[in-house]
Amino acid sequence: MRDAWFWLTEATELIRFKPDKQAVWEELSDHIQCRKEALLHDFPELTPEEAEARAVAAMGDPEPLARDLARLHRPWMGYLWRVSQALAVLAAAVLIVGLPAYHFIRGHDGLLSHFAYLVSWEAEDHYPKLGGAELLETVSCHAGDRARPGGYTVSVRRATLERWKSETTAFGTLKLELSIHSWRGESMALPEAVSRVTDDLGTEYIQGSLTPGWVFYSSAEWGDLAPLGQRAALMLFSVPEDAQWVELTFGRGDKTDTLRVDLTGEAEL
Amino acid sequence: MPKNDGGAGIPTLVLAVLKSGEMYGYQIILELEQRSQGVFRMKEGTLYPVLHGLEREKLVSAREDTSEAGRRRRYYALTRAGEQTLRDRERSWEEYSRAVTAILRGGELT
Repeated sequence: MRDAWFWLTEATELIRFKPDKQAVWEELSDHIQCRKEALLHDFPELTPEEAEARAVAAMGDPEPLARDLARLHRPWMGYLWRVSQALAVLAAAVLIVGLPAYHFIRGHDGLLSHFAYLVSWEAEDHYPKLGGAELLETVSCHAGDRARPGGYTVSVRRATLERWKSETTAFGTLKLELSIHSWRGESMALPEAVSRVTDDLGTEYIQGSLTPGWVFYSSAEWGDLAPLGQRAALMLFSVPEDAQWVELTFGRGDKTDTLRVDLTGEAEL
Repeated sequence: MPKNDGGAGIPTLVLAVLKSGEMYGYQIILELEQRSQGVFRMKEGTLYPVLHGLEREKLVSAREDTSEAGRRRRYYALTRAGEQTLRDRERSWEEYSRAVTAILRGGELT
């Protein structure tokens, strides 16, 4: 390998980017070995050293070759390639890990309170037993079409009506979990975006009131760009016993839309 | 107007050889010798700057593999851009060759 080693060293000595230098060395070395094996096959009388010397001679002058190879394998090109690869990996990591993390942190407070609310969704003690009222039944309600007020799409993920009864009165509380998306990637301003809440009996539900009324419970932002969008929880109080549906109006002016929740679902309890 | 050599330099001949499939350097040299019936012989080392230049121009692609003898080997193949370039150069060479033949025979362009 003495002849080949010297020739390869000379042919690759001007390539300064080490990975390229190694790759070119191996490629040229393979060529010399192929030619050497062919010579030994065709001319069995040759010694391995003679065959190698001929194979090296067939490669030509290493000096001009070294200059041509160095021109094609400039170090900055190799380093630039490595840097671009590292930047691509970094950018992918930021997109995969950083963006969701950013949005999680951004909506962290909302998420915690929202989760806390959802955990208590089934709990009986979240609602005061006013006047000694007893929980008669829990009804899973059906929500109708989506509301599309001013670029938002609002749908009901879950609606539960609890029917309560005391010695003097019967009423219901309606818990709503809303899912809100916007094609603009914006979050809906709540509770301001809910302009009116009413039912088929003409009852007007007043925000912050218990008789009858509604409260905005929580809102969690999964981030403006996240596909999960925004979640919100509302609770309606003093829903009349014989009400068939309630209707929520979103938006103001001419950019309003309504969402109807049917209260005649199947009892779970 | 065709180029003064009709575009038939070593890079074009290498592209033409690779038209029949993926090859490594030594194979390309053998193929050039065989197709030219021994007329075309070159200093074998000079093939590599040509191959690396074609790879840089994205006219050929390269992949590494291991030979039967366990050595690392680079295989070259024509890219779509390489195929197109080869077609252009073939056309250019045909025009050039026709013009030269016409001049040598003292006749007119066919």
